[in-house]
Amino acid sequence: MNSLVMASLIILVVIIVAMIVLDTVVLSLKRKKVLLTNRIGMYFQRNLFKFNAFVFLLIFSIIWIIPLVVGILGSFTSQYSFTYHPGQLFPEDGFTFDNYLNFFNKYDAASGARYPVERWMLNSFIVSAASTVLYLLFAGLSAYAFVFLNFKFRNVLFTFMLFTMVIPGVATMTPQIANMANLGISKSLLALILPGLGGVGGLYLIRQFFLGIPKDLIESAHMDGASNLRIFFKVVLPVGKSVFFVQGLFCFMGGWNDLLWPQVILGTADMNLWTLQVGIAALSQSKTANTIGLNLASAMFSAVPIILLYVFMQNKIIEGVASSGVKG
Amino acid sequence: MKNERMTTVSEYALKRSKRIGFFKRYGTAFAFISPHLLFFLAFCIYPLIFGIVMSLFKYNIADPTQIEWRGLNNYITLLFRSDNIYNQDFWYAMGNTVLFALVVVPLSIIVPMFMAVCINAKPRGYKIFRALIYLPSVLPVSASGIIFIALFGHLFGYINQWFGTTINWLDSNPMLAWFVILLLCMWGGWGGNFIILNAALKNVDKSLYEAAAVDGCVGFKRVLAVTLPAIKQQLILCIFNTVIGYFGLYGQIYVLTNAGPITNDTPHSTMSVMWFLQSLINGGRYDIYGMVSAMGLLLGIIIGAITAIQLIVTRERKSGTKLQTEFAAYVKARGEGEPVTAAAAATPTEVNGNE
Repeated sequence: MNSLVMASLIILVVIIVAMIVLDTVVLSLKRKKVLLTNRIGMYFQRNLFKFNAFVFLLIFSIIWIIPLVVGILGSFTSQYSFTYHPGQLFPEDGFTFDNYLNFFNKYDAASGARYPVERWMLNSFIVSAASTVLYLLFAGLSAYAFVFLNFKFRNVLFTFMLFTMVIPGVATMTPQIANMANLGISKSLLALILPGLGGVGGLYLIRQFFLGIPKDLIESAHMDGASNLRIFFKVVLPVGKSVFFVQGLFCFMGGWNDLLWPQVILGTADMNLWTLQVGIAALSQSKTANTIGLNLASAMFSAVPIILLYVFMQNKIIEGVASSGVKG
Repeated sequence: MKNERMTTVSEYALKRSKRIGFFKRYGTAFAFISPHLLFFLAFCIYPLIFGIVMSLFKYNIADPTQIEWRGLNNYITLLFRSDNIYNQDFWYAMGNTVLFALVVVPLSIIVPMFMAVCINAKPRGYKIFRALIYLPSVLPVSASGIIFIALFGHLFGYINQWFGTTINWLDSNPMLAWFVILLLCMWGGWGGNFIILNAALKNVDKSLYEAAAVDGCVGFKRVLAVTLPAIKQQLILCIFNTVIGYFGLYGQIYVLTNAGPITNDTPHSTMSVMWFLQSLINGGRYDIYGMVSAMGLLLGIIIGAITAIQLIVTRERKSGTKLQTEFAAYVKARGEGEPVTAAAAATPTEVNGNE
């Protein structure tokens, strides 16, 4: 066994035993109604659970983050290290960018064509950005109509739309492919952008937010002679910035991370049409030592935009996920 | 004569203003919802109807004119003909999916619940811990899958090297492969549940805890009596979202094992329903789309039934509150002067207790 792993396991056991001892001591003192007067004793008597939670979360987070650390460090480890000194987080021959360079110069074994990695990135970006912008626009306009405009069957239509959310995407996947083929877009990026634009989930989220906007605001804008389109762009959009932002993040991340639908639609199509996820999943099918570093580099390549987005928008994303639960 | 002309003009003006009103009112609304509605009808409603029709035919996607009426034969094959290869594979994949869901769903609720409780104690730096725990959930599944392949590789994998073992995780025993798939599902799967449950716990009314403490209800009893009912809605949402999500299990299997390893019984020992459907669609046979959409609809019906159960379970609580408000209105309507009978007074507390 690796000595580093051994050491960390021993440290882990020591910490756990120390916590158990501490807990039993503090709890037995509490049961005997002994009040500690020094600062440390008082802290533990008051915040025992908090302290336990802290230690537990610390250990858990470190274990939790190991795969990501392995991914990042592994993508900078040379093929030589993977073959002759596998399992080292910090390789003896130092870090290298070779895997990333190889990733851009990888050739298909069967056809001899170079994998068009930059095309995959571009495709992924086009798909996620286009579907995000278009969806926000369409769903925003629709939500505006559902909230601020009066028309017949408004609520009936919306309830009907909500009910269709029950239908799982699985059931409609095959006909959707035939649908794409009939529309003549089954082998193009449009097939990845268009189907998502009919989604109801985001519309629901945006509508919920719009319901909170005071009607007086819209009324007074009407009084000033503004058209509905103008109100939408000048009043509602700025007020609803946050919900559009959160929904946009979800759309973008969903589009970037999606594997199944692009795989089904474009898996057998020309490589130039693949998205990054499809390409990387295809690359990862070889699992030998020669390609571990390369695969990790490709994985990091597809994960870095999302990780960056997450690091900077962390609060917004977490708030958005949390609010998506409150609606239930 | 003059009078007649006047009425015509006024009628016309009224009619015209009505028409303008109609366009002004419904025209704008229609223009606003039509882009979304168009895509909704074309890509949500139409495929559903098309799929139902398609599942009754032998449909060839390469040449849609070559259709052959099958009636309910696709469904009969799937449900009753156990000698048919599609039937066998479909139910094998379905069994795998259900069993895996049975293992992974409780774990995806209990573990995040525990973490959420820890975070909710607000130890030092809890926001950082929360962000770190949620981080793997935003990664694309192909990326996290590749990391797990590197970790659990056979001869060169990190885990085997660290612990000095030579276990062939992904390519020998299906149970080991399932274990790695489970780990990947845990690592990248329950972040959303964790955040939702954490938000729910944060919103539990603190005075409820105090009231419970006054009544001598502490510790585990308090969790059962106060915390769980307060976050019941979110808990149900999480459970059913997770169940539905794992019925569509695909990416983890595709990246980690591609439905391998090959055993004596089957070449696809870790096959899920979605992987099976995908393999049929990408398999190069163009005339099985009717069968595949029948499979998709069957899976959809199963998921739909689970969602229906969810709706029924959640509605129970709503009818409780409805009953309560109705009763309050009833009591109010009877007038304040009249004394409320003991039986009637007991009802609202009962409803409260059920919640």
